[in-house]
Amino acid sequence: MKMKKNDSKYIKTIDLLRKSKPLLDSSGDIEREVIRRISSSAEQVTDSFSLLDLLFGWTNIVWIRRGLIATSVMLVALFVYQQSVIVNQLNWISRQIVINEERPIRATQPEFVRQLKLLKITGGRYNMMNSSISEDQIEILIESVDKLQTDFDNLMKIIQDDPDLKELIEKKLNEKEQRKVKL
Amino acid sequence: MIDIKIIEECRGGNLNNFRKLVEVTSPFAYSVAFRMLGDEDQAKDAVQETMVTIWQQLRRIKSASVYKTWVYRIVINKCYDNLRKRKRSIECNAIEKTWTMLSDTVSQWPSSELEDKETAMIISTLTNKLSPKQKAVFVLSEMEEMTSDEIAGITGMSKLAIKANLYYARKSISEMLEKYL
Repeated sequence: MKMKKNDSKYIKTIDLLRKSKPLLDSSGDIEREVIRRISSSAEQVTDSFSLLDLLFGWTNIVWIRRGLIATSVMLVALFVYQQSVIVNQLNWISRQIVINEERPIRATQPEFVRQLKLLKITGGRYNMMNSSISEDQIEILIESVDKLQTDFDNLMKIIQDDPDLKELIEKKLNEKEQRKVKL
Repeated sequence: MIDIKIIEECRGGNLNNFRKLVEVTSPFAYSVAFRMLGDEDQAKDAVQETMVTIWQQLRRIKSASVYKTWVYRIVINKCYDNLRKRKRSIECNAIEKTWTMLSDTVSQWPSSELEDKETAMIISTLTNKLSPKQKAVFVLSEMEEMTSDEIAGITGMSKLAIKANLYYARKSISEMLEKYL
C-alpha cells in the first residue's frame, strides 16, 4: 500500500514535469550569441587547434579527449627528450674523434719512450711543440738522467748489502733531521 | 527530422544557413539541458556551446537520421562538464519552498502545470543527489521519454548500466517524495 502511494506520488510528479516542457523564449538571443562566437572564434582559429580538432575531434567524451591529448603530449615530450639525449651523445662522440684527429701519435716506439721519459723528468710540464731546447740537448739530458738513475740504484744496492754502512747513513740522516728541527 | 539539405548547406560555411539549423536544434537541446541542469541560464549557455561545437564538427554528419542523436550526445556532454565544474548545494529555504510548491501542484493534478522556474527548482531538488550519469538517464528516459536503445546511442552506456542508473535515480527520487511530500 505504501509502495503504491509512493509510486503514485512519483508518477504524478513525473507527469507534471513532462507536461511542463521548458520553452526557449529567447532563441533569437541564442542564435545571435552563437553566430557571434563562431565569427570571433573563426578569426582566432590557429593551425595547432585545427590539428588537435583533426586528431581528437572524433570523440566528444571529454575525458577521452583530454586523455588522448595528455598521452600525445607525453609521447612528444619523451621523443624530444630521447632526441636531445641522442644528439648529446653524438656531439660527445664527435668531439672524441676530433681530439684523436688533432693529436695523433706519430712517434716511433723508441722516440715515444723517449718522450715519455722526458715528460716524467719534467713532471708533465714539458711541451714538445713549443720547446726551444734542441734534440741533442734533450738527448744529453735523458742520458744523464738515465746514468744518474743507474748510479743511484747501484748505490742503494751497496748500502743494502752492507749493514754497517746502512747504519752509518741512517745515523747521519737522523742527525741531519734533528738539526733541521732545532733550526 | 532535420533536412539533410540544411546540414549540407551549413557545411559550406555559410552562417546564414546555420541560423536555420540553430532555430531547429535549439528547442530540443534546450529541453534536455534545462532538465539536466535545472537552471535556465546555464541551460542556455550549454545550448550555445553545443551549437558552436555542432558548427565546428558538422562535417562529421553523413546522414540526417543520426543528427538528433549526435546533438543529444553533445548536449549531454556539455551538461556533464557543467555538472562537474559546479558543486553547488541548494539552500534549505529553497528546498522547503520547492516541496510546498510541489505538494500544492501535485494535489491539483492532473489539471496543474508548472512555470519554467518552478520546474527548474523541482528538478534541481529531486536530482540534486544523483550522479551526472544517473541524471542523464533519468532525464532522457523519464522526461524525454526515450527508449533504452536511444539512450545507449546517446550516452554510450550499456543497457544494463542504463537500467541500473535509472533504478537508482527512481529510487532516490521516490524516497525524497515519500519523505518530504
